[in-house]
Amino acid sequence: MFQYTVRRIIFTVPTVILTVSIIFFVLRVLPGNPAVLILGDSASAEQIANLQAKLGTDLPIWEQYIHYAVNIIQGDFGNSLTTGRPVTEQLLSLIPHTLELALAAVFIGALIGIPVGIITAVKRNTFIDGFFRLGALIGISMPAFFLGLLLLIAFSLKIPLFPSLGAGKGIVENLHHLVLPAFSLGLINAALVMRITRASMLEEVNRDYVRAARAKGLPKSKVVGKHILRNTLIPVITVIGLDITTLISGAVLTETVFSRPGLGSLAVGAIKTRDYPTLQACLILFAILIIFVNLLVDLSYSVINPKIRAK
Amino acid sequence: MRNKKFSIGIVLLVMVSMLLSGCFSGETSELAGNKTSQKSSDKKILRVSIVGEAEKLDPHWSATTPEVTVISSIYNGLVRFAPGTTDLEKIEPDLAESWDSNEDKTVWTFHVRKGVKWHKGYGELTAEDVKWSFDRVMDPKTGSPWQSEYSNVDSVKTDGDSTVIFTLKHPDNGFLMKVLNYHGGNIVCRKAIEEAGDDHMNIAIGTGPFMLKEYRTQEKVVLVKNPDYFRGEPKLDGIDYIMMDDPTAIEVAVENGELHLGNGQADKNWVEQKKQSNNFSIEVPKPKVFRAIYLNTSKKPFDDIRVRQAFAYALNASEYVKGYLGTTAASIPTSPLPSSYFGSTEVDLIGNNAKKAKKLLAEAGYPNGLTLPKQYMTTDKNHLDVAIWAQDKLRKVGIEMPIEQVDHATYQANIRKDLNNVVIYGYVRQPYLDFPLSQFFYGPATVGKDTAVTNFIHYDKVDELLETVRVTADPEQQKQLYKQIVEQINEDVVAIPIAEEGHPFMRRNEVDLGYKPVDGAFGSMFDGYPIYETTDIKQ
Repeated sequence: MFQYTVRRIIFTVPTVILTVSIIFFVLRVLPGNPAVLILGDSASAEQIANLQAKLGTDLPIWEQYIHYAVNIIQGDFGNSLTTGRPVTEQLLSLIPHTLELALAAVFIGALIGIPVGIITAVKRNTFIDGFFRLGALIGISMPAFFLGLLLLIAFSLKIPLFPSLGAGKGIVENLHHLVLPAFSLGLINAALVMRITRASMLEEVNRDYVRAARAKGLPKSKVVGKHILRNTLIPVITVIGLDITTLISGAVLTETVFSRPGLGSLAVGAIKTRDYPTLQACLILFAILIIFVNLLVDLSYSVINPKIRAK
Repeated sequence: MRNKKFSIGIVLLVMVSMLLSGCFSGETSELAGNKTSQKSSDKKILRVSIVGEAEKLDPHWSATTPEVTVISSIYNGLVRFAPGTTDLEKIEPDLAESWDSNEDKTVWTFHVRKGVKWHKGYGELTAEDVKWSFDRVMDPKTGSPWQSEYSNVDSVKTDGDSTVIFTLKHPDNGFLMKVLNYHGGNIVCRKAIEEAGDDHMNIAIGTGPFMLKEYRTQEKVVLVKNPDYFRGEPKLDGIDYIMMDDPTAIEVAVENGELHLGNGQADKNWVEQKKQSNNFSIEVPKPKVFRAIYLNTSKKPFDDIRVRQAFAYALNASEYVKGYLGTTAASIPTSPLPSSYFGSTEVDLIGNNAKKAKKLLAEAGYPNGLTLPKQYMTTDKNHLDVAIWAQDKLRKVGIEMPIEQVDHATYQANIRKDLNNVVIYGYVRQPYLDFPLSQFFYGPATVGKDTAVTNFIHYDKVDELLETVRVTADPEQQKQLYKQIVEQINEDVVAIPIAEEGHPFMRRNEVDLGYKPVDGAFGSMFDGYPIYETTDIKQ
């Protein structure tokens, strides 16, 4: 297990190097000049050229790459082109907001999705099954930002229970601010998790080991809870892992609706202003987080299913 | 069991994240719901939305609307518009107590107010600070985007502790516009800027009614009152400029009282609907954003005036304003340049005659219509709406204008590389016609040149007149010259005005701005409310 983990971590190094390089060159190919965006529309061509020289964006791409690579190795992501603030400082202030939203959404998704998935599989083709399947279909079809707007209007404006903007401070206020955005993402995740759980359960229900367990005279709750569920969890965990990776970078619209700070919004802002250092750092961080989450998902397989560990 | 452990694990991770975000979110946060708002109501904190990040808080660099909005409460200029106006006749003292100029308007002398304190203990303002601030903007090494606005300044000198003398190369009647509390005219603190070094964008030490307390990336800029403000202690305890992008979220927050001032939507139906609200009023800043279509005369087919005329005849600005924007917030343009600036003049615009358009196209050698090359167009709604509307109208007279949508940064880059025949652009400038003329219609400002600004149309036919008007001291004579210039531009059909757009704002009833908006409009050099020491929240 330890060797496996170390091996996987070592394999991430070339992946990160490749990702960093691709990100660097792709961004330089994009049209758009950060100097123009910093100076605004009244700046002359001469002023733009001067600022480019100051920012180093007028250097040949290979030279910029070498500077960049050397700085990255030293752990320096540079300063934002627009604010001059250290990029690392910006990332550190936003990572907790992004993680809390992603994890809360996944938690809500799992908390609702797994039990409902089990119930619908056990009560297959009943009214309950149909009701929840319809709900899941609506959930999967609905964009998270739209659900966010509905929740915002319902629970912030019409029934003013929750704040409509910001992230709050301290645990209690934080939680208060987190409820609506977490539910707008979590309910949609729940729909997906429910469908995967249900499908996996149904696949397992007719397997020999289930028949054997039933034949032994085990109660239904034990058959489902102990035998079927454990084997069902592998695809569910895969989906949850994918959800986390998507939410880390892809909750931009929900962050926008609830005016929450987050890494996704930072990256989108950096694209708009061609703030290369900030964008590069965001993308590298996303890549590392995604690799890390995938690693955790892989490791969890071996915890859930000892056969995988043995292989 | 595993499932339970997994759930516990996630709960723990969420808690740790919340703990961390709680730690990183600092001390001040009144961004909660109604209850928290009431809790914090002992302190009068005005909450204002800004659309986007206010990244650069050094006024000699600030260019975007959120940035200019925030710094307007932090800095002062030598002079300012009287609160609530942008009327040239109502310019009043700010950091200068008084001023005078010689007869030919080449020497301007300002007497700096005594006893004005810089924020956060940086001492008292002196004439030397004022001189240093302007020298900084004018120095090419600084790289300020506002440097070119001071190209007529020969020298800035001090005479004692409280007198600053500007000597100009040529007479300039509108020189007060350059020393306003706007862009390069904002006075910065030498000591603070030098101490900050590379961090100069983030320190924001001014003399204004509010001081920068905290900047939270993507969240808000927190200002607190400056108790030593020279006009008296502000009535508000602070201002939270909250970064918001979603129009519905802003609307909900204003409705439920989480925001006091919020950006509205430049949409006729929205304005009509929101005017009915009992909680807030709708107001628009003046001068409005002037939006026009610019035709590149250096490229075919717009090198032929008949094609430009046909293009103009195909469009009807009045229809766009009335049908899309509504006349509450927007107005129908009366000239290829803004209508409320010094030197503005009304001209007979051509438009709305499809028959004439087709005839002109035929005369120009396009009897079967013409297809323009692909035009890059920004996805920014204000521009794109005009492009799509114009595309439809042009098709009716036989002009096809294919559009490729690109993000705003790419659009800005492409139009400066001269890749478009048709450029749609909106702006607000100091209300003096020299500013837009020098940037959009002056030869040296043509894109592609070292001195390029935003002359996308390669136009130089009014250069001589423009150079003459700049050295003319008599305001009446200036107005006559500006009239000639505007008429010439209109005759050459290089810019087709579409709308003077006011972007509506929502102001909750409890907010007393400290000045009275007239007919639903307030004077502002940026898209937002100026906040003064007199601004208050009524309990």
